[in-house]
Amino acid sequence: MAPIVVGVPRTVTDTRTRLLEATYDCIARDGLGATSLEDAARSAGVSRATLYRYFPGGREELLGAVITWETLRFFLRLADAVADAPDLESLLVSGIIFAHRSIAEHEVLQRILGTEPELLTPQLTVDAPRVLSLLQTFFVGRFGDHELRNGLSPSDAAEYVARMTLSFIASPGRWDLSDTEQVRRLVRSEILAGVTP
Amino acid sequence: MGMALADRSLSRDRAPIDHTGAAGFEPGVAVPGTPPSPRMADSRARVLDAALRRVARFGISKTTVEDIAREAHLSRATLYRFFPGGREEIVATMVERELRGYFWKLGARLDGIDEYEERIVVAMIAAAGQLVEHEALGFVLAHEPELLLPHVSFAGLDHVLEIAAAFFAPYLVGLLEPEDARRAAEWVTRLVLSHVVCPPSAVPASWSEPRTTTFRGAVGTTFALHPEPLSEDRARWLVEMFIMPGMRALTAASASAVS
Repeated sequence: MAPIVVGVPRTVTDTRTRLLEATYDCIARDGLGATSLEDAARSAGVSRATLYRYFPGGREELLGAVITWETLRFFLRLADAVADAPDLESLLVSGIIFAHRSIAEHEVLQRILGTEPELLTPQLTVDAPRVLSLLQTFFVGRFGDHELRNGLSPSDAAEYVARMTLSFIASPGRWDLSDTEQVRRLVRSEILAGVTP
Repeated sequence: MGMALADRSLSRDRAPIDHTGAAGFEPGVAVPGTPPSPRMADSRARVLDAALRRVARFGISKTTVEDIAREAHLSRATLYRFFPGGREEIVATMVERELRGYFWKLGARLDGIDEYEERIVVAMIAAAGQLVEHEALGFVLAHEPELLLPHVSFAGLDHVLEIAAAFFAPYLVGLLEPEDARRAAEWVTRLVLSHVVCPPSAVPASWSEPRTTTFRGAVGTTFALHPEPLSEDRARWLVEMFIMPGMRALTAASASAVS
């Protein structure tokens, strides 16, 4: 797999990851509010003491870490899905369409948003700057030599593109993000017009 | 923040701009309507003022009808006469009034600015500034974010985008066709909200595992808004660098669609 995001370990299946996976399974089955530390330990096949060793803050730290971890996985799947795009415009168009569909079809996310959003949205909001940085890092390497307007640094351009992309992915507003032509129009004016020459 | 912004009078008989032509815009959202009876309206306003002061200090969940009555120096019975729905009705009406007041203040800031680029810059700075300066909003976000964030996340934010875009679109008509103005207004709103949630200084240089993960769904966690999410320099830079070129692209696309 291409090193799409610098600094993010991609194939680590260490104990911590295994614990996160097992806890995620509990949340997928029972929701956030009903998942206890005991449930997570049982699902992972470890003792409570082991869980505490990795997550000293206990249940709250564990649940927070699972949300952050699944958010990261979501965006890594997204990066993989668009990795072969020939240019930035088609990457953004297919990325926004893919992300929109993935959010709509993410069963665990949708169920929690429907039944206990108060347990999820604060953590996602806290994580937002980190997610933005993830997208920015991804876009920085995506600008070709002549694709940036004069005077605009790749880092500044990537931050702007990341902000707009994240905003549209999370809340489509009036846009129909399953319609390729609409997405292409919004990518051209709202996202790329100021970035490309 | 917003030192460069003139502190304009908020006198009520001064409509900054005609919003009625904007698609989907309800005039009541931004411009306070005429109250049915002045005395009734005064008493209701007194209750809402009291509720707002309580929320700014103690939050929504710890504010009871008794607290509001005491704060307003009214009896519980009187309070129920003005708000038969009790606490729920008071809080809902308070939120609605704050929303109107927010856009009313924003409109007053934009009053008299004829240049489109300047309108966008001032609107962005003021929109972000008014959010982070709102004491009750700050308290709720800091201490009971679970009450607010579900309503402004994912599809919930679409409603906020709709209201804000309907407010701001008329300020862009003339520069853009009405439908493009609506679209550009939503886009400017997104950029402002993005900065409020992710101020530039809070964005790490690269993804890193958080040092301490505290589950923010837990009661009693704190969540502070940055005092200046959008500096004047940055707003000007964003408008000049991205928004104006994008708007020119919109105009060009509309022109070629017509011909």
